[in-house]
Amino acid sequence: MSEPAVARPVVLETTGLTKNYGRRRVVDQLDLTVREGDVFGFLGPNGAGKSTTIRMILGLIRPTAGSVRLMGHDLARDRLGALRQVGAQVEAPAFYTYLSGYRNLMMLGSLSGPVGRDDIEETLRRVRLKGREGDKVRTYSQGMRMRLGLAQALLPQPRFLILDEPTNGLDPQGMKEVRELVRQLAHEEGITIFISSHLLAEVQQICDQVAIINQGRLVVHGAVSTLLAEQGETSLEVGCDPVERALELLQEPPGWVQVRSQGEQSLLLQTAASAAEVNRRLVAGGVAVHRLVPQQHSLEELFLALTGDGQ
Amino acid sequence: MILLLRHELARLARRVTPYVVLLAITALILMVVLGFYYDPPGIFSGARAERKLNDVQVVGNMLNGLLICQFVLKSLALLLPYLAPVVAGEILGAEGGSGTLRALLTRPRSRSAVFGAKFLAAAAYTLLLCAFTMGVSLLLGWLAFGWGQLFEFEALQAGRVVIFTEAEALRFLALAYLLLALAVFVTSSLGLALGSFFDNGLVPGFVALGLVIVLQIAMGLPFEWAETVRPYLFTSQLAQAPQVMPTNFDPETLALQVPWDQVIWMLKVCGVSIAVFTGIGWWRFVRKDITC
Repeated sequence: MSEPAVARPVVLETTGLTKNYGRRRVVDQLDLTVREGDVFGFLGPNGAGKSTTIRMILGLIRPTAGSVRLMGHDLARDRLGALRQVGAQVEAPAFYTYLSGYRNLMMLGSLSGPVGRDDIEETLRRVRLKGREGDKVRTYSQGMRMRLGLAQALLPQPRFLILDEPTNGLDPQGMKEVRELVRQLAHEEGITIFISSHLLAEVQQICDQVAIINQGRLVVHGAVSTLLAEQGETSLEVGCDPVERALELLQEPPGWVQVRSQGEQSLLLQTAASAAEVNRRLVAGGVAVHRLVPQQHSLEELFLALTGDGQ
Repeated sequence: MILLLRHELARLARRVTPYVVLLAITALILMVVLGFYYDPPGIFSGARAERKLNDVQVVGNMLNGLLICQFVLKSLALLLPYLAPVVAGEILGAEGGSGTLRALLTRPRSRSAVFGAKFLAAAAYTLLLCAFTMGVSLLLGWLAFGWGQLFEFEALQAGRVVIFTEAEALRFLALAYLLLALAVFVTSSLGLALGSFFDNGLVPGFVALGLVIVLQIAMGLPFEWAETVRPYLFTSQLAQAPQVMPTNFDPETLALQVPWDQVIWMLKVCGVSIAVFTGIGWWRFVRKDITC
């Protein structure tokens, strides 16, 4: 991201967003900000309130309290204006199964603005459904329906794309393609993307901003890199020989590294020092270093730490 | 709204249920025609022959397409209010059940426009249903028995003779089927309204059907309160459409006597019922949380 966050306009802002079902509070005072150009990951364990939040953002569910500003429009007052430049796929994609994929896209797409045959064919090519558009949706596999769901979200050529679990039902190849498509949309076409997923490694790979909610409450919200850096010391896997000499060298000063495990020709260290510093000291002490692999904290570790193992 | 309506009609045309209903009606009309053909009521036996009716010597074809059309209006067509809500309920309820409603409502279209398009699609189907019933009964009746003037069926059964020319008969039948469409649309709008309460394609239609039957049973109870309420309830008007066919004429002017008071009352009750059901359905639809 080239521009600093504060300079970019806000695409989505929720303030005190709350939803109650009877006495049960499903979403609690949620404040989110998504800026233009962000690829925003929205995470939370099952039942955390992710889908309810997305539905409130899209006007499908009326909030009990709080407000949503989408594309500069107050959703409660100007829902149509807010949705004009938004493409969305909410949960499992649903289609008229007795109609063809092409007909579904034409029907849904035209409700956001004029849609031509070329637009549909181009979108179908992007999601790799070209050639099957004439078949009835009832004959599609789950993966194909997911691609069609992506296509209908992309068809209005949105500036803001909301994708709820977009890789559900896709095989590894399909997941990779969606990941690449999201990157391409964000980086080449400048589309802001809000993506909810339970596949944390995937979110870590494609998102630059993330919010984690648990039991309806916002637990953390910020840049992925910052949040991971705030987790503190990282692990360092060192391949070296002889290991005993390396251990001697790393003992001074006491406490600057901790040895978490030891192999025949390898060590796993917990340290705040950089890989370069460890390398310098070992090589200077006559140890042959043949591998240095810094192991960063993953989003999964962060997620589990913040949500109590996802419970 | 026009685009939404076009989509609704296109979807309706590709569903199975509307065709099942039309097929069922065709089958029933065919049964009526076959019944008249092979086992006509006494008054029509030897239908093409010369016969004497009271003091009137009848020459020609009493049993013809127009009479079949009127017979269907007075019998089979009165079942349409029980069939139509199944399709109308599906128009809205099935969208909730399949999840397509959320795809539709994340588009920049107002919920009122979406509901309005569904309302108009249900109205169009109701009109088609009644026009189809009239058309098929005329066609099958004409194919089986030919054409001729219409001897009003009810008067005939009462031993009186009221004869319409072909043009008069077609005019009155069209008006009666139009009134029938209004009565049918009352139950359709009830089905549509219930579609915004149930996220299911079948439940709204069957709940509407259940409500109509329960109300009809309740209004048939021999109590004073039922007598008082009955004229104001739509269930009492569902079978009134055929009444627009005159069964009598003014002996002095020989003008056909249409019971306009009865027809206007039916229009009022059905109109208000449609407005109430549609209003409730719209109110619920624009407020409901789409959780399906």
